[in-house]
Amino acid sequence: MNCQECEEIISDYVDGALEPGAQTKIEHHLANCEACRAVRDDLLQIVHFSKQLPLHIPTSDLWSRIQTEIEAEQPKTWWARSKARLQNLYGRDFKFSIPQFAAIAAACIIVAAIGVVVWQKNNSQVPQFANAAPADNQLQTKLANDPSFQEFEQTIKQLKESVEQRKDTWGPELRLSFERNMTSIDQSLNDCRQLLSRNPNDETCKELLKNAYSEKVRVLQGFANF
Amino acid sequence: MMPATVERSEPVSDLDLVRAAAAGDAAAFEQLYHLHNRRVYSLCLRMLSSGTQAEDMTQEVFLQVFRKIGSFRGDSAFTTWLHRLTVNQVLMHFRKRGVKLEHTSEEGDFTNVVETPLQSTRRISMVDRLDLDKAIGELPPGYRTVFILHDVEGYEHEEISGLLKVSVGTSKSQLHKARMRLRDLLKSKH
Ligand SMILES: [Zn+2]
Repeated sequence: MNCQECEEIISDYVDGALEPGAQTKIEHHLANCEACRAVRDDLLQIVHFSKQLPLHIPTSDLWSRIQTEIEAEQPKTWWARSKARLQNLYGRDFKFSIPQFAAIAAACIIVAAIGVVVWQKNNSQVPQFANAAPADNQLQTKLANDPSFQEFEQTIKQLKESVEQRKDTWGPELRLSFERNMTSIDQSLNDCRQLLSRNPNDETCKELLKNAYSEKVRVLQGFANF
Repeated sequence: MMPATVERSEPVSDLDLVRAAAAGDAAAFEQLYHLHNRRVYSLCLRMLSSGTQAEDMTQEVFLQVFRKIGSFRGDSAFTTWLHRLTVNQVLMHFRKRGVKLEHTSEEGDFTNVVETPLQSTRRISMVDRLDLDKAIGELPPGYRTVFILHDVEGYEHEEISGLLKVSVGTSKSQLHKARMRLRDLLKSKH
């Protein structure tokens, strides 16, 4: 083995990655070549100290920057309100995941939340949720009597009209996105209505329905501006 | 901020914190940040060689952690998961910027520099960790990335090959060239 051949495999040697045959050969060369021994010793040092490099510290305001971003990403008020209420209702072990919320588009957020709540309520041993659900027409009356929901329906109707006007100018991707958003929001609206129909006096369910409505308005407003 | 002390006085594991954070516990997420931000930032700083970019990247990494923490399964250590996420973010950044990692021939072949017999047997004196850190920053991006992944972060060549979409042979030769270049840089400092 000459020095060039030695150098070609010396990193593998330092990493202990050579076949026994090659290892014997390089060790023989190293025993007789000071220059290559110098390379080996230096590489050993570099490899060794690379594992103990000093840590660097970011500036102290980085955390507050991150926090600001996180807060901007999640619909905070609705999130904070719902979480507090759900935890009051179901206890501390109620799992309501922020990342789950932040990870997906706002529309899906509601769906996920409703999913969790519906599941929780369907499986709940709490007597108040074991009650039979009132008939659907009762709920309709209830909704109609609630001015805020009527207002939502009114706003949504208007927004849908302006969206229909804009739609002709959209590309296929935007249309698809709109359909997807509407499907998931309508799904969550439905879930909310059913949830409320089973628990007509539950404030959290009302709150969730209200949020689903707000979300639909928000998304429609977004699309109406495209 | 002394994580070692904190860890000893509070028997809260990363996994506990991750679970709490995934369940919406903001304080747990903040604690994860304080325990790990320096490792993430240091890794970003080494790979990017710019304090500002490293901070932006660290921010992006922790936002990703926040968004994805629910998907952390706990079958690897949280630190491993976090570092992978960091490496992926940095590599994505390189790709977006068109930083070439696989092709460094134009950077010259440093291993063929002819040394006089006296120079060749001269060893670098005890490596100063600060000098080494600084010298890593002077490596061309291709060498630097492979070196950091392998020698600093402990990735295997097979993993690096997958991450950088290069052959194992390329990863090995880049690493070797990086080490030899570092040796030159460290020698010239003394
Ligand atoms: Zn030799």
